[in-house]
Amino acid sequence: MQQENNINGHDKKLADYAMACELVGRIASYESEDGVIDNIIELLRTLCAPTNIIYISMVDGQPSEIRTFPEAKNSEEVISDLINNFKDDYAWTASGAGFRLKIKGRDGVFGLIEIDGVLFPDYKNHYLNLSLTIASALGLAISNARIYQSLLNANIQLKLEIEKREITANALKISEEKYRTLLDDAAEAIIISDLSGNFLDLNKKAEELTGFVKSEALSLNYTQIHPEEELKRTKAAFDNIINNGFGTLTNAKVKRKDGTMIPVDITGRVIEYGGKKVAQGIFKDIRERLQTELVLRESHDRLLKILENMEAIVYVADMQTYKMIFANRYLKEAIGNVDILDRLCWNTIQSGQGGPCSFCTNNKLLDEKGNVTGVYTWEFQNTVNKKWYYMQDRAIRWIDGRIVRLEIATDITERKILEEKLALEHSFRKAIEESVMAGIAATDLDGRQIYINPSFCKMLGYDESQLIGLHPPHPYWAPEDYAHIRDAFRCTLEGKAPKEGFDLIFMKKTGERLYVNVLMSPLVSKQGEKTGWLASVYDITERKMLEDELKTKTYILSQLNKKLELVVDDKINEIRQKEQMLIQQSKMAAMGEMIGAIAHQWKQPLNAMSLNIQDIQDAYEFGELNKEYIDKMIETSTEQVAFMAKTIDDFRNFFKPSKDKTIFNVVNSIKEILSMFKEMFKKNSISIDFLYNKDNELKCNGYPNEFKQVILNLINNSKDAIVAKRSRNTRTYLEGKIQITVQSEDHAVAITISDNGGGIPEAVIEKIFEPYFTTKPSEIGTGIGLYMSKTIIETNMDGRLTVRNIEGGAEFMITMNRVML
Amino acid sequence: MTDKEKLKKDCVQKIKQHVTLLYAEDETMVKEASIKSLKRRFKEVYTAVDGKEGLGLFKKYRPDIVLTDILMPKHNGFEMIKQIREIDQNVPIVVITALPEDTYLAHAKEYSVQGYFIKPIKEEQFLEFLYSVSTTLIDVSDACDD
Repeated sequence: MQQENNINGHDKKLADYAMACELVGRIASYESEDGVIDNIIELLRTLCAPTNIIYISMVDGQPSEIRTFPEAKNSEEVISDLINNFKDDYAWTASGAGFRLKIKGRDGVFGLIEIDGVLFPDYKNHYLNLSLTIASALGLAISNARIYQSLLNANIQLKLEIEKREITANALKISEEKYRTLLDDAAEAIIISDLSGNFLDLNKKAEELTGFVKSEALSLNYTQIHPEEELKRTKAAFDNIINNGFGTLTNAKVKRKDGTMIPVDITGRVIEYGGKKVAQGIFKDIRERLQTELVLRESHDRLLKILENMEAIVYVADMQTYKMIFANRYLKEAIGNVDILDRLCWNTIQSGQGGPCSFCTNNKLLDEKGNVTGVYTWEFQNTVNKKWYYMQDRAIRWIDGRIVRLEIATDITERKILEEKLALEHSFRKAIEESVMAGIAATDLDGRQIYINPSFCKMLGYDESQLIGLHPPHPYWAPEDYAHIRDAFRCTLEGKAPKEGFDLIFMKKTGERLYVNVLMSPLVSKQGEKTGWLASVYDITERKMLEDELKTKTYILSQLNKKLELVVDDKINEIRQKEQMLIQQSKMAAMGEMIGAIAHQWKQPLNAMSLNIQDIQDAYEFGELNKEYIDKMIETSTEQVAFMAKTIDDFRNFFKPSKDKTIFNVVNSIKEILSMFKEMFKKNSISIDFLYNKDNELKCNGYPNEFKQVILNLINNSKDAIVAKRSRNTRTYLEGKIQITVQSEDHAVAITISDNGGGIPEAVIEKIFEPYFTTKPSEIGTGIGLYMSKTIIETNMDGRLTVRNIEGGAEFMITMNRVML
Repeated sequence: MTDKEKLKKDCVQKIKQHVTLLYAEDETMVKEASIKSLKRRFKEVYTAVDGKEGLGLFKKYRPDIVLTDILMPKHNGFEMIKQIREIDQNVPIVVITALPEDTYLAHAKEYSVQGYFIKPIKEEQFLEFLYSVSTTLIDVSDACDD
């Protein structure tokens, strides 16, 4: 067995199984207790490498044999201490560098062992554990060996007895008298019967065996002293003896007078007795032998149980016939076949073999004389399940005495895969090492160059000998970068080196500059002291050049961008101007509408004045032109002029932007705007219903003129929608209707403006507040109105302007915060 | 005074004695200015501010001539005309409006409107037209014909 100093879990398992195999092999030779003990002592010597081992063999509680290693050593004191004072199962030795333990079996203590002065005392716990395991196996082996020995003794005894019986039988031939004496003195039970089996005589032992006294026995037939179920077998044996003059029957049973059964081996012979031929049966009580065999069988079964439960393949095969004698659960699972026993090993646990496997190790397990050689180990890929196994083969003596092949095989497929991986990784690492491009350099604390690798030399064009031992500044430092380089050393020593390393400038032997990225780390001794620097150096000249190129390009790009910005600014200005123009246009349009509205407002008073003036003549003709008429005339004319003047003022006020936020009356503002444009809507045949709560004191904070502008904008939109709808359908005339409602909630005022102008197409309803969006023909729509309205309400007055379609038209809603006074 | 002038004077007198007017107009300033000259020439001028009131007055007084604006709150002019026509197929109706649109003209023809004046009206023409309509009504065609 090979032990390694460093073992991983897997190898440990292998080692354990190797040991188990070793152990099984060593204890399997149970024919000799001495052999077992020798084997185990050798094993323990290998395992613990002690300075000395003492083994005391115990039989029936008494020391029977003592072995010491080394033999010459005087250890009587220890031996007597072991025999007299060692009471526990194990204990540490006096020296502390070893232990003693008991070898126990079923029937008590078989031996005492002391192992002292182990090679590695630190591991004595480990050794003790292993030794205890070995000791329990050893107990089993010794017990087996002792049983086997007693079995051998019994066999020898039997042989002697048979020989004795032969002699006895022969003697009987000589003298009947003598026979009689011999018969009575014989160690075995002997019964004489006639050729039909009727008993004629029997000795004392036979009386003891059968339980019948002679007088009773002489009336019996042999068939009456055997159990009924055995009669057929017994009769056949008896007939065989009569016919052939000799015969045996093993494992027969005698049924005693009291009905109890005794197992016997029977030897029968036809002899001359009293002048006639009689049958003589010698009965050997085999109870003791059977008992011994039973115990041996139990031990064997225990061994098989251990093998059955091992997490490795275990099988036993006959070395001559190749028949499988034993196969454990693990093997059956491994090859997916449970029907293995009694089949040929080479076509059961291997496949594709035309006969015994070419790689069979049987010939390696026995020497030329046919003696067991030891463990043979090998690795093989199984031909059935293609897994790799580590095999430990050995020839052992089977319970029936045969020499058989025992194999323990551990699955090492995983290890094989790992090995392959490892091999791959190894070659990979080698390839990497060989292809390292980075320069590596080390300096001591004074900056003296102490190491450089070939890549470093190649990079800078120096020979190693030209740099090693030099003090800074090093010849490969570019003078213009000294300060940086010294900084890098300092930062690294202070532990402040950046992860990405330092970008420095080195100089080739030729003077050519080299841009390098240097990753530096301090060299630290085992004692934790900083002893210098280690640097890996990468040539980044190419990268640096690319970076410079990139910088140039970035600069060009930024210039382009600046130009682009100018272009964009121009465009924006253009758009702004356009926007201004649009706003101007919309103002002009609004102005046009205003003038139209003023014209409408003025039509009535102008009409009236015109009529009044014409009436002067009429009144004169009818003789009504008197002071009263003139007074009345001046009064009405003044009213009309005042009305016209007010209209102009209203519009002029309306056009004045509100300077500051003021609190204004919502209902009144709406009323004012409606009265200003009343005539215009009337002209378009559009009626405006204005509904509001009696409480017309609703106040909001904001810009009243702008608010009015929004209302006007919204009702103008309604008007345009109604007119457009009319022009689309000329068959029935649409009565335009606009409804304005003002409602107040706790802290809010809601103004809705709804119309019957057909509503806004759903597809564009989301867009109508966007600037320049219009559905109106270009001569009346600028796309500014609703955008401005929303801005006024939401940005300037903290309100909300929303829209939705209702039955027959659109509904705009303004909500604003109400001011409570 | 010529015969003709005498006849005309007779005619004017008869009109002043018999012919009544209904004038529906919401623009009070204009209405006030207009009715002064009408009151001098006709027996009675009933004035209404909207179509609804106008219809009520028509039913009550059955005036000989109906003058009406078109754009008025509550029953515009056409609605009133339509309902008056259901009561009386023949009463002359004259429309005075600020609207020149063809749509109105078409409507005006449908309801057999006698006259259509666009504001600001020229009073001379207007009165002359009213006289001519009135003359047919008082059955003094012989006397009044030129």
